[in-house]
Amino acid sequence: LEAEELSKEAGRIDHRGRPVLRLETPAGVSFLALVDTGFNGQLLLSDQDARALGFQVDATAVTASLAGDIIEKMNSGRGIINWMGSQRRIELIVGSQRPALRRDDDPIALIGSELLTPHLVFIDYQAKTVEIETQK
Amino acid sequence: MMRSAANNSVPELEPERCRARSEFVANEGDYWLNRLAPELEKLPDGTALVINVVNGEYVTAPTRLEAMDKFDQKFGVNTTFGFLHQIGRPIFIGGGGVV
Repeated sequence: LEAEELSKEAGRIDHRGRPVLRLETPAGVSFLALVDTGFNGQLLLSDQDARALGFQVDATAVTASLAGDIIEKMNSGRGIINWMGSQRRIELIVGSQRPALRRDDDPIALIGSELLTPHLVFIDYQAKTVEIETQK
Repeated sequence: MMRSAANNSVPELEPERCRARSEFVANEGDYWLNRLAPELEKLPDGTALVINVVNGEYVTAPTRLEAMDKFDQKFGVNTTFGFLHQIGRPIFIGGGGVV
C-alpha cells in the first residue's frame, strides 16, 4: 500500500445512521468504534471490552460530564491501536458496564476528538462513507 | 512493536463493584482537588495530574497519558488508587452539559 493510503482510516455510515470505523490492535484484533465528536477524549469503552481487547485498565478514576450535566465516575486505561498507518499508544476512558442490549453489529467504543486531532474528518451521509485523513 | 500491558490491569470486578470502586476513588479525588485547590490553581491550563488518593501526593504532565505513566513511575503499577484530572479541561461525553 502507498504511504498515503496507510495514513487514512476509512469507515461507513451504518444502517442506523452512525459513523463507524473498524479499529485494530497490534495483535490483529479488530473492533467497531463510533466517531463521536461530542466526546473529547481519545477512546471510550467498557471495562469488559477493554480487557477482552488486551488493553490495560488502571486503578485510576476520572470524572466525565455527560449530556444533561450528569457527572459519571469512570476509570482510565491505556492501550495501543493501529491508527493512521502506525501504532499509537492511547488513553482510554473505561466505563464499568457494557450496554445490556447490544447487537452484534453495534460499535463497542467511541472515538473522541482528541484522537481525531489534528486530522481531517469527512462524513458523507449521502454516500454513507467516513474518512479520516492526515492534513497535507 | 510497542508492548501492550493487559496484565498490568487492576483486578477485574463485577460491574456493580467496579462502579462502586470508581465512585469511591473519584470521591476521594474530589476531596483532594478541593484541599489542594490553592496550589493547583497556580498550574497552567491544560496541565494533567494524577493524585494519589491515599496521601494526596500528585504528579503533573502535559497530557493525561504522560501523567498516568509518571504516576506509575512514582508509585508503581496499580499499587495505589489515583484520580486523573486536567486543569480547565473536563472530559465530555455526548457533548457534556449541552442539554
